[in-house]
Amino acid sequence: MQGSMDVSSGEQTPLGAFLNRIMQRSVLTADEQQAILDLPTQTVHLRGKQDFVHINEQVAYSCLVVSGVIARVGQTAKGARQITSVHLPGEMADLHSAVRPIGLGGMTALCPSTILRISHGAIRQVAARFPAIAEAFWRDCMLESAILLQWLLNVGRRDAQTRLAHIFCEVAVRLGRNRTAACQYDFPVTQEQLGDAAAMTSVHVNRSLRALHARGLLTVTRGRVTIHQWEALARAGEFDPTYLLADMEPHRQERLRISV
Amino acid sequence: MAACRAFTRMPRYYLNLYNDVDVVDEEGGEFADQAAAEAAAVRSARELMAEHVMAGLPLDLNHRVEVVTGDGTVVSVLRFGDLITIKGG
Repeated sequence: MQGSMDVSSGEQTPLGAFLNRIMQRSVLTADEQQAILDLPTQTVHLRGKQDFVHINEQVAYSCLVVSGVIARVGQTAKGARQITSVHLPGEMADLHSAVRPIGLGGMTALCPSTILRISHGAIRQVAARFPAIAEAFWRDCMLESAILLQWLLNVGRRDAQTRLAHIFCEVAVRLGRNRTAACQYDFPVTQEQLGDAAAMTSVHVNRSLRALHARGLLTVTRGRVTIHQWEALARAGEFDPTYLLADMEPHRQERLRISV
Repeated sequence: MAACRAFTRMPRYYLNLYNDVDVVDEEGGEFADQAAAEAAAVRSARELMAEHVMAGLPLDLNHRVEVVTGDGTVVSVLRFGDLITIKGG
């Protein structure tokens, strides 16, 4: 394979962080990497709890998370919110919106956050120019789908402590490096927001966090998560990281081949 | 970019739970008014009771959720037993 040199400049730039994420699962040439790093961006700062895409609003940009936590949300007729996904620094919160700019929920900042807006036009251009980038973006969207399936299982079939343990395990793996879970990390969301993600009231979240702490599994204090016993927490959360890690060896991903 | 929401400060209430352990709410939440905070407390209590029932655990009807203002005043006490109706017992 030609030109597989890694030109990503570490995680110094937000686009570099996004490129690193993409390259954990997809093989890109130097040219392809550079094309991602050259995407035009516009920085937007968001307040905590700021809804910046309303449900059923059509958008012309995808959002790359620079700092903070971004969530996608749905809402019942009575106004009860369900957080359907959370997005962490280095992740594109709505890459899929480049091909489906409406109908995938609203977006909100769970805490003060910074995002980069990248126009759908630029994303589609780079994907059209480099089929391998299109495939890498497609794979990234499917990772989001895999996470969504786990969240559906989580809120549909697990009890309160298991749900929360699963969420904290997942975020630990997503924030970790080299397929290793981060056992201490910042996750500055409120108990109410955790409840919106786990389909529980904030009182129930508080009670369940207390119970997980009493079991010696983790401590959550003012947005800082400390996992004391990874294996035990993973068992408590019925957490199997296969859905996050299974495709993290890019050499196993065949580049798109088209025979004519 | 969506227009910014009007930036009105809603009052903060804290929902403390007293069941098999005491779980003090250190974060609190913003509610439109006291009635909204009480409604959230009622939902919480019922949700906790429901999970106990599903797990086959006994319900203690004397457990309660208290709604507390920022200055520590308890404005409402919601006893579990007052939030459910049992027939045929």
